[in-house]
Amino acid sequence: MLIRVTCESCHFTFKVSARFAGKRGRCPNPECGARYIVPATTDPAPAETSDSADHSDRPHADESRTASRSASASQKTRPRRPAENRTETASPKATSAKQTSTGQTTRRAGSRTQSAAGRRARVASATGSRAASGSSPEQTATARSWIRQRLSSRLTWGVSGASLALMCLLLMVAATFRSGPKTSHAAQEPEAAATTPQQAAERQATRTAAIVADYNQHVKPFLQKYCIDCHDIESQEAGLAFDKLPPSADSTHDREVWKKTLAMLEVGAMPPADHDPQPAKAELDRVISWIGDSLLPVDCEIVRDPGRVTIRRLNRAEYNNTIRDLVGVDFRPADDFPSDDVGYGFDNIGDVLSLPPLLLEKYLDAAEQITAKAIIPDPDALRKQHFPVAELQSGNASRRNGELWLNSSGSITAPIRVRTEGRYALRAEALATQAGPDLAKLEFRIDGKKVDTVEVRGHRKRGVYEVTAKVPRGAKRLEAAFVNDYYMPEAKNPNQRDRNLGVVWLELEGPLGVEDGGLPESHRRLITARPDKDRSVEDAAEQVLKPFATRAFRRPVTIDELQSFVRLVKFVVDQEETYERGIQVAVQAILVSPHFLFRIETDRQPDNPDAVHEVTDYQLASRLSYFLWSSMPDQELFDLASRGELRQPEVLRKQVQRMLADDRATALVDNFASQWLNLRMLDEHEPDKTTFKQFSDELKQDMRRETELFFEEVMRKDRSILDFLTARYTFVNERLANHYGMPGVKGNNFRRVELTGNRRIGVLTHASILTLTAYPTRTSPVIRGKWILENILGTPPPPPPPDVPVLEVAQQESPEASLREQLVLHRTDPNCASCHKVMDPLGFGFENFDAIGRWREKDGKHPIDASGELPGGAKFSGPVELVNLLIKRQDDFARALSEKMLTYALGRGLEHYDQCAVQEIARTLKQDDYRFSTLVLEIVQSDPFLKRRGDDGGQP
Amino acid sequence: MSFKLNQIERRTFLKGLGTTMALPWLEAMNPAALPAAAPARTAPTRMAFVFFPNGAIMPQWTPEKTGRDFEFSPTLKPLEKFRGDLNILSGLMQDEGNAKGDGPGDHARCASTYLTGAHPVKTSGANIRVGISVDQAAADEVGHLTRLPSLELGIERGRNAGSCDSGYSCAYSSNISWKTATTPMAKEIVPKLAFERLFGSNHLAEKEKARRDLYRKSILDLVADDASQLRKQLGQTDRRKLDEYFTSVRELEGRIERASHERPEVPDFDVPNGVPGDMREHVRLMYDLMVLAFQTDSTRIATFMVGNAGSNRSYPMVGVKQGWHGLSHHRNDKDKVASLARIDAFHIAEFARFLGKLKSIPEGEGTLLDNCMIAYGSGLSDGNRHRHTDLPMVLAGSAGGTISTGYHHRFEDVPMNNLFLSMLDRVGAQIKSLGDSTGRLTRIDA
Repeated sequence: MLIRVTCESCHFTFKVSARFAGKRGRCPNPECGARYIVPATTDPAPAETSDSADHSDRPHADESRTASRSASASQKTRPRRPAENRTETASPKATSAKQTSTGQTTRRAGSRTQSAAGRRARVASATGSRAASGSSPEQTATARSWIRQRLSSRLTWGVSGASLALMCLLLMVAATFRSGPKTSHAAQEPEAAATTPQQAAERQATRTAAIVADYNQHVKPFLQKYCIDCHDIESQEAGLAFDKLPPSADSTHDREVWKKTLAMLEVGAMPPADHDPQPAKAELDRVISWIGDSLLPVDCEIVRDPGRVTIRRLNRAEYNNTIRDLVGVDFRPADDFPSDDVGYGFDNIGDVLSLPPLLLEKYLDAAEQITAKAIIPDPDALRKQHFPVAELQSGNASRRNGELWLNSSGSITAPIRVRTEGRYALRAEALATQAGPDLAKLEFRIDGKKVDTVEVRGHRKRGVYEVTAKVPRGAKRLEAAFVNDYYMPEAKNPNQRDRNLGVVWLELEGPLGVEDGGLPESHRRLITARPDKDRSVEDAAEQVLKPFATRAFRRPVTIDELQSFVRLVKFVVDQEETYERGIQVAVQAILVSPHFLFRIETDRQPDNPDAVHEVTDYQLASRLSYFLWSSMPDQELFDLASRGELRQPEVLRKQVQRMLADDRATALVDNFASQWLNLRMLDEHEPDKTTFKQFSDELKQDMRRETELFFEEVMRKDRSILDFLTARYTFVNERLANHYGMPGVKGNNFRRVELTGNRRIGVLTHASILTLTAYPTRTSPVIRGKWILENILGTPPPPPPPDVPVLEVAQQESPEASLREQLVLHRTDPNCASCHKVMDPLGFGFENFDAIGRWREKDGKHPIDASGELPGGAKFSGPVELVNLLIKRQDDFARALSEKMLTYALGRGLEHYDQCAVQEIARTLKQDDYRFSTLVLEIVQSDPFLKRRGDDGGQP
Repeated sequence: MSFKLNQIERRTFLKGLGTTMALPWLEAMNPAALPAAAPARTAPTRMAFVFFPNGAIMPQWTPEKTGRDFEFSPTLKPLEKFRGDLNILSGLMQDEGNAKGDGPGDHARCASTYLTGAHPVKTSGANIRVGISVDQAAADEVGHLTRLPSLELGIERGRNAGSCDSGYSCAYSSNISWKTATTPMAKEIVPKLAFERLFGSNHLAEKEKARRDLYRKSILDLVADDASQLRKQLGQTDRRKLDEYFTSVRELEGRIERASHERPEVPDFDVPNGVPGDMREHVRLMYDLMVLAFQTDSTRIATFMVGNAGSNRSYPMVGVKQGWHGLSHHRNDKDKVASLARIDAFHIAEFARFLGKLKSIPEGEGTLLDNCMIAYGSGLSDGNRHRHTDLPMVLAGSAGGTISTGYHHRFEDVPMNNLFLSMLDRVGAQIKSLGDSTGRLTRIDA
């Protein structure tokens, strides 16, 4: 039996089991969370199973929903089985174990018992489907040796015992993931774990025991012998005290210390050379392996941490797009905002986006401008603009009897405002003194241009004259001109001597035939109700602002919020302003509200890092839309969210496909691709104009456009992401084709061309990337190599030590050497060799491209040598051969791109526990032939995207 | 505080800027309005901090001799005509710019320590933290006295893709002003927008302005309420973000309040739309805006970055084709050193022009420059070796005669923040310590 409860705070209605009568709970509306007491019974609602499809109608919805997602792709599409079936296969042991082993006593007794059956069912379902899919052992094994894999993929390049190269590579790996706060708390959230809590606990215990045993046997003696002299609790050199450092990486601090230790051991920097004794290589390797392979890797079966995203302020692109979609005015107000700082390579990172006073001021200014454009504050006044004689102006008219008289040719003007083009009625009340053969003529003009002429009849007799005409938007002046002056002072009849024209008022009404007076679309869409005799200002304002605030806040607006905006409208109206002006001010308030400027996701237990839960459907809609569109959700997403259907795997899949096909998905090109591939850096990059005379800003734009079009092709046509590396097609216009030396392309329009020969292949040979990885005057194989390591292979090299006497020495020794020869010389220094051995050959392969991406055979007098050898011994000559070697590391590329895109999608830096999600995304991507949409869909269905948890207080 | 013009012909005081028509600080010019017994009020002291990236060619920067009789070095030569108005301070350091176990990233640390003297947390994003900067410490105390508490200017946008420096978020490289340890003050790089910030953009009638301000205050009241409701539901990291929002709301409320007492007269100053293509023009406009801001007492505190940390712009106007940062790792290559010295001299010449403008504006018994303290320097000395000691620093203006000028002082590894504490005293912000300060720099006292 269920009891219907209505939250007193937000009026959200939901049902809870009758068992909870009299108990306390929290409102399940994620935006509310107020406490309530379940009523004592009475009025029981119709009985339902607790597993009703509308999960948003249940309390604790977030807790009782499970991470239905597992490694197996098949499960994603599998419909949920009826609860009864699942209950049958449940293991009671699992449930009880969960409650005892987690030690999580904070959860309310109610929820524990309430959904026990449901949870039991889900746990069983999860294990059952795992068993069915048979992927579990494979996944576990892969997961555990994740770092090792990354290493060995590098090792296939063959380190051949050369420890320096290995050091460098190890450092790259170590630098790839920053450590995070927790390694094991997800195990306390049994519903999220794919294994039963008991199994997880056992695994964890076994793993910990092995690590500790290893530590005691090998590591501890090593530390005692070689390290403790300087790094004990007494001396603590470099802040390290190994005698108090536990053999675990559970805390961020300990993890960091171990990582630092690993890095020092790997490069041989410690123990110092003058330390006696020195460790044997086997000894050292064992410790390195213990830290790198046992301690630091994450066991994805135990650790299920979705992480937590800091509230994200809309960045400039998101602000512009959201305003466009919300208000319907597209004038990019954020272009004047200060630039958003970049973190982890992207400008949408919640932790980095700050809100200084300057920006709030800009938000307020922008809100005023937006509402001024979107809403006409005085629509009635605009409908019929009436100008009595006092408001009319003229250069040569004179006032008599409340009339304005033109005694000679001239005109009388009124200042009009025209918001929309259309047919208008132009009216004048006029009179004339007649003389001569013709009647007095009145010519209507708009902005000085003749519209139509009427004859004013009668002598000194007022009459209303009207013409209709098309009036353009923005017109400013309505004129009544006197165009046939007649003056014959000697005429006999005094009444025939002087023809004059008088005007009493002017009027403009329109546009005609348009029901609402031609108000702009944005106005009509927004002002859906106006106060009248049956409707108060408050009622009308509520009707207007409820849907608007709901869309602006990207979730249902609460009653309290709505009331405060309505009061603001009333306040403005009380200042003797129009209702529309009031709405303008309320909309401004909505547009500077934190609920609009930030994407807010709340937790029931905001400071409990163990409280993992799914984001709400509305939040999920926003996550999707800001990921793929850099904008707010559209109506379809809102509707799916309000029905609680968005999360269903089939729905998600369809939505992702729909969204990727939508025009708005170009945001992914503009904001993701341009940052992933660093295209935005072209803006600031200025090749030297004297060295490269043919370089122009137009060419620079073309370069960027080529790469954007290419990305868009992969996205829209759902091609393999490997195309980024190996595509034998690209997009050029005439200017770029000339730059590339491709004949037969005419005109400014871009078109697809096929690539042949041994010059161009994939984005790495796009002029954009070749240019932005060069100096203004010359190429840099080092920068190009580093760029590939960072952005394509996801293994950024460690930064160079400061003040290495690198090229200086080389230059002194052989000042005439080519750049390449100098670099080779400088790699004779073992300090540099380890990393440059990896970086430089990658860059050498592209040496045939100059600093603006043109093909060349010579650099000055030196012929280009674009051959090289990768650390594993694989040889190549030229870009196409090199790319064909690089593609052998497609797994690395897939992982690197997954990491970049996941970072962008989440708006936060990746933590060590995100390895699990990345690995799963990359694996499915591979299984699905690297299709672009699979990458996006896998990200959208990953735990970090679907879930969140409470705050652990940031990093110490 | 309000500065009203009476019988004085305003234009006579505005020659320095030629075309401007602003309302200058004039209290001291109108002693008749003060009671006879009251002590003559002095002009307010203004402070500005100019930052240049990548360090300098120090052998050509540092004068050989110290004391009064020093000769201007080749780089500083354009400042010679201001000998009596400035001090050259050698041997100050920002020790927190050193790695201290954090590894590379000296450029990010160069900018972020320059005005804070605090060690930045190495992060690409999460938990950005350094320390409050000297200008904001001043703004906290005396910012409420002017329409704008402080003005932050620059000529380069923050980098908008890729990484900035060795694992440091770009926030560290593109800001020198920090409102709190965690909130950088974004800078304005578009001259027109900076101008509008100082003097307002639209010419609304008085009544409409009052109306708008009333609504703005109501809006800010409402959203502040919203935010405090929301705050209760957030975790601690999110709460910190929302606190930034709060602080900004409060500051904006204060500004509207002050603006309603005192309407700026909009100077007749020709500001182009957009960002000037020519860097020299851009730099000059920003300096001119600082002059205008000080002259009209719109603010007393300003910062200006003539480049972001690690800036790699080229300087074709002085014949330097390569990027500045690339060059700065010159390894004593003669040509590179010469190019770098030309960049240094370019910026010093523009700085000298700025001082000239300040000096051409009479204020009280002396000039506007006399009532200023303009610190011009960097968080790096030798860019090639990333040194954070013996930093280049020129301090112009005597802060109303309280600084004795005309010297080249040499210190031995004294924290730069000691100088900042001495400057804070002079704007009326008495603060015990700032960042890694160990005391005050008494040697500059008059």
